[in-house]
Amino acid sequence: MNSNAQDTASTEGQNDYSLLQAERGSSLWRDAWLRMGKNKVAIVSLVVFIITCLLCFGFAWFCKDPIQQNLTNKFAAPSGEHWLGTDAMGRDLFSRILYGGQVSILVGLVATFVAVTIGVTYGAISGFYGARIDAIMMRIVDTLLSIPFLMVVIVLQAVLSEWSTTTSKWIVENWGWNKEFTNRATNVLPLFFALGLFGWLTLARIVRAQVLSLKEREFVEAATSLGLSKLRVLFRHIIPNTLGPTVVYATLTVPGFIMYEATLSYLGLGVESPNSSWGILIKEGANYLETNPQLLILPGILFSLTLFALNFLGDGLRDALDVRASKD
Amino acid sequence: MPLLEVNELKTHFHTRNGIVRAVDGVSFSLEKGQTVGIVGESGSGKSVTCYSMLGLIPMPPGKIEGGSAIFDSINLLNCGEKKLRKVRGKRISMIFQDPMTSLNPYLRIATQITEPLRLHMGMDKNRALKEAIKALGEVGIPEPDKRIQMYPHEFSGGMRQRVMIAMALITKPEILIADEPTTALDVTVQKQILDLIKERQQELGTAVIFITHDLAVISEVCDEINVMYAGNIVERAKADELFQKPLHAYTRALLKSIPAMHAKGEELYTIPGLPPDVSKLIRGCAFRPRNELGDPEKCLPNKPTLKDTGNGHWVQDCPGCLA
Repeated sequence: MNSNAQDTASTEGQNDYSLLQAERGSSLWRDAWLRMGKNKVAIVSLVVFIITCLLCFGFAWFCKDPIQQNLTNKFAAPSGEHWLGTDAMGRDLFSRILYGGQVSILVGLVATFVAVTIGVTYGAISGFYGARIDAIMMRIVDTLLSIPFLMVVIVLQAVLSEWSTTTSKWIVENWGWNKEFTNRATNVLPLFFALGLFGWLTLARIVRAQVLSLKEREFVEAATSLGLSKLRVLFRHIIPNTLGPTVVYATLTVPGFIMYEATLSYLGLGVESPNSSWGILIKEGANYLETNPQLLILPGILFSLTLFALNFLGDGLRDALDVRASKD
Repeated sequence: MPLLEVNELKTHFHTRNGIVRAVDGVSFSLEKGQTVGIVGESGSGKSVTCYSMLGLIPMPPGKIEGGSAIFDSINLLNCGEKKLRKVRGKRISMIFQDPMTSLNPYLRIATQITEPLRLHMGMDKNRALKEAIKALGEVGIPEPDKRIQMYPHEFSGGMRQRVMIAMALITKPEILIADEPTTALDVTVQKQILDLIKERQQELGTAVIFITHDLAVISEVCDEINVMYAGNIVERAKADELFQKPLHAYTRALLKSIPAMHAKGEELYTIPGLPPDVSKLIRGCAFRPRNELGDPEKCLPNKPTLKDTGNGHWVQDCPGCLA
């Protein structure tokens, strides 16, 4: 905004708000963002993660079909045709890694989204209403936390895999969706569900603790004295104040969920071959560790790189949002 | 008929250490456009009195045990949350002690100040913003059209209190409750804020309930003063009258402890002892143990009542404290 425009804004600014938008104050988020800009590791991590996403969700569409087999061309060496060679079934490894990344990253992001939505709402309500409601809601969380996660996922997967085949068939018949796409979608859906079901518990506790202290703050009282309803106070004034820790926690859970996906797929409980995911690729690669280690190493590199990047990003965000730690 | 009439208000807190009788039978009334002060030490029940009227007491542990607060033929104490919400922020607003913490750090000033307008007046975003900019200008914020898009941490303490005042008065309420609005500010800013409240009050015809423990402040702004002690009003009079002819021993002690009342070099006066523990039932005159200026021997063994001595000067009828 040049000085001329600024003059107009202050003289006749009472009517024209589009001009004012440029003169907005600096929010705590923007401050945090600026602080993070100085953290090189975090920025590099962010760039690495963005590039990985672009490759997996953008570039992948121009690559070869990841499930197209060619048994006459197994274990091919890298070439112009197959950039990273082919696997035991003659499928293009490069495109399998990228398509696998789609599933893995999506599992991480969607599960985190589900976890954050449920966790924040649940924790906020529990902390805000307090007393008996809080006690009951938190005991439910305690109970769920005491159930071994892996066991529930195994049971769920067994129940839901049957459901997923029938649903997928039903969708193809009734809605005329692409069969392969539908299969792939319903195949990973139970996984999202299972991860999301347990992922929110810790977050709910974090948010509850935050809300417990926030609701005693004076601005909450001030908001109430302005005549806001309880729910409006909660959603407009309290929850935004919990978002800092939530964002940090969420960023650090994404790699956790990606890891879970890999674990489950490796155990044969998650995504199923021929669909691809990083877990599947590592599982398949492990079979040929002695003869063709690149099948394990190459997906492993991208997998680890993404996890590293997300963890460093989370740490960077934590430092940036923790005003007390970084003020000096 | 007075604008607001509080009668025998009793607010108790049921805590693990017993019942805290924070407010124990307070009555006062407020006329249109009038400024009524409530003074007293920390813990005398000044704030709780006002919080009770707006339903801001956390319940439990708090409980309004009795009394009424009639505002425009609505009893604020039992009219229900929904009705109360229509009064809060629209017809009765409040300014708080610490402007540093009473604004939400995550929201722009614009978002916060337009909230009551959009909520109570049903204004759309642009009109509310226009009104808000005007209101900020009226409380003396320079370049309000730019400042309104900023966040609370970009304002100084005095500026934030100005924002709070603008926010409280934006719906042109009939009553403004000012809960120690100058305590957290430095002296020069205090004066400005007091002048601002007075000025805005005169323009809008708002009645003000002014809570403070600072007698200098209260002498400046109030028409009538209530002196509170241990959850009760011990004396009520017109401001001039109270300063010239204080009757109750506690009021006299308070006035005596103002530093400006002493010659230079003279030792400052302090009231001996501490305010009584209101979680224990107090029998008789609550001020008795600290009554130095009166005659504690003559203090009443049962709770004294407020009586009119004429000319609107009320005082607790305890011979020991009046001596």
